[in-house]
Amino acid sequence: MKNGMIISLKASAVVLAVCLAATGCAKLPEKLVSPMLKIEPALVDNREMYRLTLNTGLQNENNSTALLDVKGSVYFKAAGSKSPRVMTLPFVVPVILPFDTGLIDIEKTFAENEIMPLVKLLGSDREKLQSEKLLERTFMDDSTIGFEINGYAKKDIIDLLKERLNEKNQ
Amino acid sequence: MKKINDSRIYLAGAITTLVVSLVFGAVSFYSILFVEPKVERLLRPAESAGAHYKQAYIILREPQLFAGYSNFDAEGMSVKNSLAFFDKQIYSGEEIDDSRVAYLDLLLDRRKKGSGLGRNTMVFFMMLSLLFWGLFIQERMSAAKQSS
Repeated sequence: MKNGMIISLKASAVVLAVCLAATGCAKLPEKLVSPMLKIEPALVDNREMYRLTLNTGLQNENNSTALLDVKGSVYFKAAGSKSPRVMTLPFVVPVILPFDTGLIDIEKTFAENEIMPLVKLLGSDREKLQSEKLLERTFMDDSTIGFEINGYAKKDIIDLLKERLNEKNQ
Repeated sequence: MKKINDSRIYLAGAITTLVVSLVFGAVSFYSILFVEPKVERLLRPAESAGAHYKQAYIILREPQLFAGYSNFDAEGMSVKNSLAFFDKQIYSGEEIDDSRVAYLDLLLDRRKKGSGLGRNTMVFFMMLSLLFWGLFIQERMSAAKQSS
């Protein structure tokens, strides 16, 4: 019984070590860097639409791991952990080198019924947006804007740079 | 009253500190004798070529044991910024020109400081080991005297 317990503890330790080695310990970005959001009325095919522009970034704080093909989405929601998301914008960042910021630039056009929940969330409304022609937010509360990463690959920076050098030399 | 024989403790201390000293010494002297001269040759080659700077950077990108790239004080920020710059430069296939050699020297200097610190730590542990060996020999001699 005691031997069995020792063996199962050893097996668990080995499995844990293998899992840790497989997952590695790359640190993922935890917040969006200086998000800037613009919503402006636009005419598309003679239809009244709204153009949304979001510029932000994700910082790679790892010192030797590059993040590749980072796929995820930026979302907007009212304050409160259980509030539903009013809009989700998917993004892909091809590469974020160590100590660098991968830029997320999203430009998308929406119909009125799609954009208005976000406009209201940001404290404006249709009339105000039509009269001012622009809704801009540069300092956004972390409870209003968030992001999630759905997939990424990681690579040691030295291997990545060696590959790039070899590609260039070939 | 019989004196307690501490020679086993001294022997264990002497061997442990000697092993630590040898490990630190090996890592530091590998950098001092092989890595740093190689980087120097790549940074100051007979004929100027950007590719040499890139090779030198890739060697420097692997940090020395005592000069890692994870924690930076105010002085180290220039190193952090240089790493970010050179990573981007090489990844995007840009050349590294002569004007940037000063920043590569900065990275080399950090490595040299790291290997210097490793060498000094080796000396410290070596002295500690010698002290333990001395105590061990003295303990063995006094134990032999007591038994005779």
